[in-house]
Amino acid sequence: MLKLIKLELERNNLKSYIIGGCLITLSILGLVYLFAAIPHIDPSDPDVGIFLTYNGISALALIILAACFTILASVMYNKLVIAEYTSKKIYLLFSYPIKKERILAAKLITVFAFTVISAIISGIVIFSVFFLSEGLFQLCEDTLTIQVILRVAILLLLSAVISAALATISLWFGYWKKSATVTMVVGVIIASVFGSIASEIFLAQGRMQLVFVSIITIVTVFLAIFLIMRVSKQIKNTDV
Amino acid sequence: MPSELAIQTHGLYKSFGTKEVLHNCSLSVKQGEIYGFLGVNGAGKTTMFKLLTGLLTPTAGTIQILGEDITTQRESILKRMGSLIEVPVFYEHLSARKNLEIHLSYMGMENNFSKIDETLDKVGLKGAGTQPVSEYSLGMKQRLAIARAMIHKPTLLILDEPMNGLDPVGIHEIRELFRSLVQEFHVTILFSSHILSEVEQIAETIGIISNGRIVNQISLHDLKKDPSFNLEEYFISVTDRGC
Ligand SMILES: Nc1ncnc2c1ncn2[C@@H]1O[C@H](COP(=O)(O)OP(=O)(O)OP(=O)(O)O)[C@@H](O)[C@H]1O
Ligand SMILES: [Mg+2]
Repeated sequence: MLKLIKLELERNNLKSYIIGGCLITLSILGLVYLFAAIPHIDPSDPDVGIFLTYNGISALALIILAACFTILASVMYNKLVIAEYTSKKIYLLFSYPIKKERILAAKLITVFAFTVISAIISGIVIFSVFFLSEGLFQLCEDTLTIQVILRVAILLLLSAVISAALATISLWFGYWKKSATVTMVVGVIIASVFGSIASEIFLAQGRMQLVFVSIITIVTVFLAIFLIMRVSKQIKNTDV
Repeated sequence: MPSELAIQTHGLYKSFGTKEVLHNCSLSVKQGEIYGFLGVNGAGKTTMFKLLTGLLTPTAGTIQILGEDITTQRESILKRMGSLIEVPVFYEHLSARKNLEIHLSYMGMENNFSKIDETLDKVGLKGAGTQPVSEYSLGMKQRLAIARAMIHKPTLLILDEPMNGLDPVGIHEIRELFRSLVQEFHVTILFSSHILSEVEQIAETIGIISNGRIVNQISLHDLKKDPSFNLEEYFISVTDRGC
């Protein structure tokens, strides 16, 4: 399996996705500073409370991060899976003496792992820069404790998994409709729906926050497994 | 034990929805022969090749390739087979060499990396190995597809219109290549073509498919015993009868 993943990486140029990941990181970093600056720009606004705490700012940043990486993962699923199985490239894939499921699994693992790893790296960069600069020049009213950092780390891990898992919805739609456009549009819709639902959950208070986010992670992972199994079965039985 | 026949199909049927494309086809290709598969556009040649390479599943009937059943022994057969179906597909942004390396890796034949230059040379692509395939001409892609089909040392080649887009020199080179593969390595070659003069020159046996039925399978050598034999006239008379 490792060899198949290596071959996927060799023949699919991941450079554009890495650039995409970097752009997401920079944009979110910019947003984080914007959020933190809002209370200083207009302290009279009653809704600015959320921007004064590390919990509030990190929750918002993570939601946007998860939404962006969901779209990035959808684009990757389109390139590595949908485009290959719905075009003449399938002749090539199916001429190798390797079980069809194994080749597909290698592709899915590649996208999943790439999404999770790049989302985590992106989050680490964003929060390291922000928290370090807070040490030099504090914008939030909170105190930065180990607990805060730990909570952000756990939420980042879960958000990364959620992104990769949610994008399988675009994979399923895109494969079903055999269309790159459908994949992208569904990716964007999921990202925005997720963004609005998640804002309630990520901003929940105290211990409930981690519990809720863990629940969404588990639900999306199960959904992803279900959708992947369906797509896998269809691909295995394609007549080309 | 592998049988004498490289390919044998029995009562093969293939339908797409209600449309029947292959009807009760029994194809027999002997080991070590060059078999030319002929038929008008839409007769069912590509469909037959897709069934033989496991891309399609038959509606009914059996397919034995190199003594094994393609539906149950797919991976084992594919390892020993080289194929080209319809237009050749590549990873266009990569070089020809890289395409072949990836192909060999998937075939589990990494130790054949050293054969890449030699194989490119054989199909007339000497010195073009570092060029990205997107910059290749149609005929160059066709040559590269033939190189890819043979580089993992298969014992059976299934090639759908391999001469498509080749210049006269290319056709001549590929003909010599086919002959040497058969003589040196006892490879079996099943190919389809619309260039009858070509088929006449290199095929030992021809099979003619018309409207999804194999209407004739015959040794070209026997046919040529008749001095007035003309493949084109023969082909037209046989396919007419099939209609
Ligand atoms: N996926 C498919 N769905 C429906 N019909 C198909 C499909 N593939 C092929 N056919 C039909 O099967 C018939 C045979 O097609 P095939 O491609 O095998 O012909 P061919 O002999 O290779 O022709 P050509 O010389 O033009 O390459 C055609 O009538 C075609 O319309
Ligand atoms: Mg054809």
